[in-house]
Amino acid sequence: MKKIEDAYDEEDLEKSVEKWREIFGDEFPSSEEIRAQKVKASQTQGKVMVSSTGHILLEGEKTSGRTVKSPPQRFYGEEK
Amino acid sequence: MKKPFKEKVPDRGIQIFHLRQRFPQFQYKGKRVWIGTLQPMPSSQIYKIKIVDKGGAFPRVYVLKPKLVKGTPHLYSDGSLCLFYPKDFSWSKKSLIGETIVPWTALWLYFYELWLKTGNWYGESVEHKPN
Repeated sequence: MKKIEDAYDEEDLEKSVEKWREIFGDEFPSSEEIRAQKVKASQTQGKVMVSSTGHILLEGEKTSGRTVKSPPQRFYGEEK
Repeated sequence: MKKPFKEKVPDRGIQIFHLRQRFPQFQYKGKRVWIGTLQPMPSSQIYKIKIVDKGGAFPRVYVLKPKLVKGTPHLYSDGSLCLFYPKDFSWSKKSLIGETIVPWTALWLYFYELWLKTGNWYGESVEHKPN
């Protein structure tokens, strides 16, 4: 019970994910997968930013230098 | 009365200018070809990318290095990246490569790296239905 409370109260996302994964194991998504879900949601809304080097940024994430807003799109193509 | 602004198809010079402004590491190699690098995350590897502007048809994008693994999703049969669903009209011949194709390539690489790690393609995509 204490572990669940700790995970719930943890304000740092990465640390919180680590704690939830200690409880649920690999069934709980990693911080990378959680971020990917956020990028996916932002992708269709045209809210993903891309730095001049190509780094993918979500709203609120900062980088030095210029960024370009990625217009909404969905991937397609031939599955191999 | 002013005529409404008519958006023009950007010529090669305009594309070169805008791409250099936004992604200066992309170099124009002539014959409507650019080569440059993208790194989707600070911890990612650096990808060498080739963009071929087809002058009206949608530009083709290839990953030159590192070689994409076998079975990579969202590729066309010639190995070029499938960056958008044509029926969404997210790209038109009036689009600037530096504002559409390059950011979408960075996104594709971001989801590709996650696909390598997890086996799941997290990017929003349209299921391909063979004809």
